[in-house]
Amino acid sequence: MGKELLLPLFNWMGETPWSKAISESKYAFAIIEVFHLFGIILLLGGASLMALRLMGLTMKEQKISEVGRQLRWYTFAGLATMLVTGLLMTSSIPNKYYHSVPFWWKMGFFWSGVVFHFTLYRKVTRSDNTGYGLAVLTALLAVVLWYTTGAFGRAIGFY
Amino acid sequence: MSFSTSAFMRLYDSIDKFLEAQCIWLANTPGGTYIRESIWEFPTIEGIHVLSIAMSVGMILWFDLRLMGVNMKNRPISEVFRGVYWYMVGGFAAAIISGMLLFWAEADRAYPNIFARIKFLALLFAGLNILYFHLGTQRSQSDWDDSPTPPLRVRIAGFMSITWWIVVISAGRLMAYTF
Repeated sequence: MGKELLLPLFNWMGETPWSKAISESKYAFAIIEVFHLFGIILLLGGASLMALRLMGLTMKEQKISEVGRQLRWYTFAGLATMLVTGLLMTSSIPNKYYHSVPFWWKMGFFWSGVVFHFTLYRKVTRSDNTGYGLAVLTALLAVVLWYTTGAFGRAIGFY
Repeated sequence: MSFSTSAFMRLYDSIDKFLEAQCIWLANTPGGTYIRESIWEFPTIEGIHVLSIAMSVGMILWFDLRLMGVNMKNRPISEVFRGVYWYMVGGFAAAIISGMLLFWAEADRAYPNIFARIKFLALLFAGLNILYFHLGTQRSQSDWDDSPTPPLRVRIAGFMSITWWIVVISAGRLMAYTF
C-alpha cells in the first residue's frame, strides 16, 4: 500500500504540542472542525460556480477569466483553511486517521484535487480561449474531485 | 413568585412538555427508527446534508459578497443574483429535505439540545433577513443595482445573511457533537 512510509509523519504528529492540546481540550476539535467546514464552503462554493461557468450554465455575461479572477482568492483561502485545520485534526488523533479507510480515500482525492487545481484548473480558469470540451472536462473534474473529497471526509466520522 | 409569572411558567412548561412528547414520538415512528438504525442510509443522508449546504451557502455567499460591495463589483447585482439563484435553491432544497430526514431520526435528542435550538433560531433569522430584504430593501433596487458599493442598508443585508449562515453551520456542527 505504501502508507507505512508515512507512519513516521503520523507518529511525529502525535508528539506535537498542539496534538496534546487539542486532544485534551473539550471543544478544540469541534471548533477546528467548524472552521474546516468554512474552508470547505469557500472551496466548494468557488469551484461549483466556476464549474458552472466553464460549462456555460451561468454568468455568461462575464468572461471565464473574469469569473476566475473574482473567485480565485476565496477558493485559495478555502483550500488553505482546509489544509491547516485538517492537519490540526489529524494531529490530535493520528492513530485513528492512519487506520481509517475513508481517510486514505479522502487523501487520494484531496491531493489529486490540489495537483489538478494548480495545473489544469489554473490554466483553464485564466484563459478565454479554451475549447468547450476541455472546459467541460475541467469543470467535471473539479466537481468530482472536491465533492468526493468532502464525502469521504464525512465518512471518516462513521467508519 | 407572582401569579402572572407562575401562569407564564406553567404555560411554558406545558408547551415544552408537548413539543418534547411530539419529538420523542417522531423519533420512534418506524421511519425515524429505520433511518437511525440503518447501516448506510444515515451516513449517506448526513453526507448529502453537508455537501448540499456547501453548494447552497457557497452560492448565496457570492450574492451576499456582491451586496456588500466586496466582489464582482463591476456587474449588476441582479445579474449576480440570476447567476446563482437556481443552484442555490437546488442546494437549499436538498439541504432541507436531508435535514428533515435527519431530524426525523433524532428529534428526541435534538429537541433539548442547545445548539439545535440556536441552529433553528438562526435559520429563522436568516429567513426573516431574506424576507425583509425582499419586501423592503429590494424595492429601491433600480437605484443601486449597478452601484459598485451599494447603500449601507444593502451592505448590512449581505453581511447579516453571511453572519446567520455562519451561526447555522457552527451550531449545526456543534449540535452533532453534543448528542
